[in-house]
Amino acid sequence: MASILRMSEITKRFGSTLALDAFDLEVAEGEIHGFLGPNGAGKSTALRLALGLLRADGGEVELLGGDPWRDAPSLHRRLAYVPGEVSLWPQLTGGEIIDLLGRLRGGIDPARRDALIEEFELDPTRRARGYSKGNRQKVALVAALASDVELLLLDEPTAGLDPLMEALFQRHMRTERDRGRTVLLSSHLLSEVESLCDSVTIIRSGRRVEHGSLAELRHLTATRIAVSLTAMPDDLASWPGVQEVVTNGSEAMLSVSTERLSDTMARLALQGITAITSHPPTLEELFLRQYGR
Amino acid sequence: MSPRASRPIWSLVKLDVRLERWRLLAWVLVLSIMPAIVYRAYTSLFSSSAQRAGLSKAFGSSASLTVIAGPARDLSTVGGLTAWKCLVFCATLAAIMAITTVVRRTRADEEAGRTELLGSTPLPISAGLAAAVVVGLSSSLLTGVLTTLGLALVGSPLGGALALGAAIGGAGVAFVGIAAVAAQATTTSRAASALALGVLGAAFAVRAVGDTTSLHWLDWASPLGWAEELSPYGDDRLWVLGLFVGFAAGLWALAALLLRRRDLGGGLLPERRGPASAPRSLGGGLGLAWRLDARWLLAWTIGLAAMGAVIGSVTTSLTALAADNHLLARFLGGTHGSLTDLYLAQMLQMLSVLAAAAGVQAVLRAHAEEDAGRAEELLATGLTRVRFLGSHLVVGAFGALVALLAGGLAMAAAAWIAGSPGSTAGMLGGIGVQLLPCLVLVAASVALVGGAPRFSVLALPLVIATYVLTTFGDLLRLPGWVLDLSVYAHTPRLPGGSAPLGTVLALALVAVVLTAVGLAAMRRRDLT
Repeated sequence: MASILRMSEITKRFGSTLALDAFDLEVAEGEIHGFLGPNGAGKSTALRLALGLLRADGGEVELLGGDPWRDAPSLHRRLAYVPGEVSLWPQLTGGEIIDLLGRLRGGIDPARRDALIEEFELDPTRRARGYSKGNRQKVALVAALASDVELLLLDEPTAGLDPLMEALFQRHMRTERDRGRTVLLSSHLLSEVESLCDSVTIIRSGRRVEHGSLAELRHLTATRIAVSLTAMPDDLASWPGVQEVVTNGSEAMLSVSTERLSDTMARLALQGITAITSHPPTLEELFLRQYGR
Repeated sequence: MSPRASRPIWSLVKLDVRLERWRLLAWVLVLSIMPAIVYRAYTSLFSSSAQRAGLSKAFGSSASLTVIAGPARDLSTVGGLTAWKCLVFCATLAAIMAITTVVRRTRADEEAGRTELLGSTPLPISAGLAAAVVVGLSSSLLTGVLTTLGLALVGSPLGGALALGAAIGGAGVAFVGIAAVAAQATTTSRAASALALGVLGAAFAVRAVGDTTSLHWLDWASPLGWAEELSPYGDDRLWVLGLFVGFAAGLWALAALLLRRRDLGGGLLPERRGPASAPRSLGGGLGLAWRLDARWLLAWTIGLAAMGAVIGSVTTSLTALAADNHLLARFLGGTHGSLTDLYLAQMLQMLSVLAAAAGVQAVLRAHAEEDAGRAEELLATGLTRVRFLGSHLVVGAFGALVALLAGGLAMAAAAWIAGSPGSTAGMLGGIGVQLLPCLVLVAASVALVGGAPRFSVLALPLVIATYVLTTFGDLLRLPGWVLDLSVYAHTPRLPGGSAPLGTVLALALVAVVLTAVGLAAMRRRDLT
């Protein structure tokens, strides 16, 4: 699949701080790509570099087939960006700002704009001075969604949205993907990335520490199983691929690595399973493995 | 508001001082040193009392200079001369210092959401206002005290020094009160500044009319008039200081009252709804820059037109002054042409500085956009960096042009009606020529915003510095190369002088080069 955005070996310094350190990122066409990392890991810096708002000290960026530093304006017409801190002109109304940003991106579909304003329950006649953080976010989102673009770059877009609006946002993201658009979504909310994204890049201290499709990444972690057995084996903890075993009479809790899942299930079945629950590896576990102690 | 001396408020005062220290230091030092330097310069410049008596005679009946400098009460002493040259000028600047400081630390903080954070602490809601008032008040007092000390050091009589210090500091105190109220009555820092500066402009005009007509009582209706009525090196009426204090205290109480009656972030008027969709004009960089700045440029234009009209209307008596011509000319800072022309040329220069300030402010809007993070949103669209900064440049240059035209034409028309026109061609030429330094200063601010955004705050001080250099530089006998730093030193003076084509082209070239440097740098740097 063609890549919409590729950053390779990107280095960016601010004075003596190294914000990005040989950082790589690749977003394929038509996917929703999650960009995960804790605060201050370099997510926003990477997005600004991808947009050509900052210039890399080293490495290469390719955005929509061009160089964002050199061809910024023409590339920018093909994308919409929602920054993490949405700052609006206090004296303009929400409606005016949506139109302004849309026109700067090369046009806005009025019917779609009005439908989105309605859906997001935004009052377009209020001046931005009076908007809450969530409403400012909505203005930027509506302006981005109403523009006819190939790529959406969203920096923590749901911060400040209530759960209803967040669900609406997720629905829209899926629709956008189904229409063939690509989405790069930075977030520190694991659940959001997990329910929405096709693939993920995890950044830590300016370096990419994990990347791949969500399915691939799950391979890196273990499935959690709670099981009741007729005969509890004594050596459960020493089975290959089995970890974190806690037993209590006939009940056991254990983690099983993905490649040993079949073996383990077969051996457990021989012990006579009376009840079993399992849940798939979560991104949270992956995340904690990278960031936890 | 009574600034109560409870501990938490002092921690806010410390915070304000920490945030404003360099700005305030520069203001206070410049303001308090200027009178002492002028005093010293006059001591050597007009050494004989006969010369001063000549000046006194020349100016005693002149209404025209009175407009800008106030009445020449007693020019037979160096002190009287110093007070005449400095009093209204320094008092006006002290008022601007007070206004900017108080608005920055009240409404601007509130607009940025910082007040909300502080409001959630156990501090009383009025603490922020109280702290800003304390800081504004202290810097005004310090200015007054240092002015007095400086004058005393260069040998001035103490009474006069004290009165001049009191007049300048007192003006600051009064406008701390006006700014405190303005910050409560409006919802944006820009509107608060505009309101307070508008009151300052009105105060200036009221005392100008009081000084030049028989309506002398009008002086008592303007804080700047009170500064004159303190009469430094004349009657030294220190009791007038009480007026400043009483006036300011009343306004602080009013500000505190307004603060308690409004919501955080709100003003006195409820927010109006606006259009649900953008007009056709708001579709690009230029449309946005125009939308953001047009109102302010209109205000500048009206202000300059009013100022030009006042200045022009009192040109009459100047032509009648034949005696001590060369001394007056020296005072006006030139030696060519008729006195009327000299006067009009000098006033055109002042209008040009103000027009430049208007233009520079529009360019600084680009920096404010970047600072607030809005430039990031704009530049992630099809808008190029050059077009972004260029739009603010175009609006700024256009605004400066219109403001200068309005001021210059109003002045010319008023002078003509009053019966003492300068040469028409000279006036038009003067307006045209004075546009050049405006453009150079606007271009310099483009270079700062584009090339050295961190130093953008210097753009407006740069404008003020060029004017001070040209107005006071000669008098201070600064070395030639220092005087040459000001763009106004290279600007032909019309009417009355000549404007060589080479000079005009050179100034235009400087503006073009500075603009090109700023725009090129904007393309190459990281967005901050």
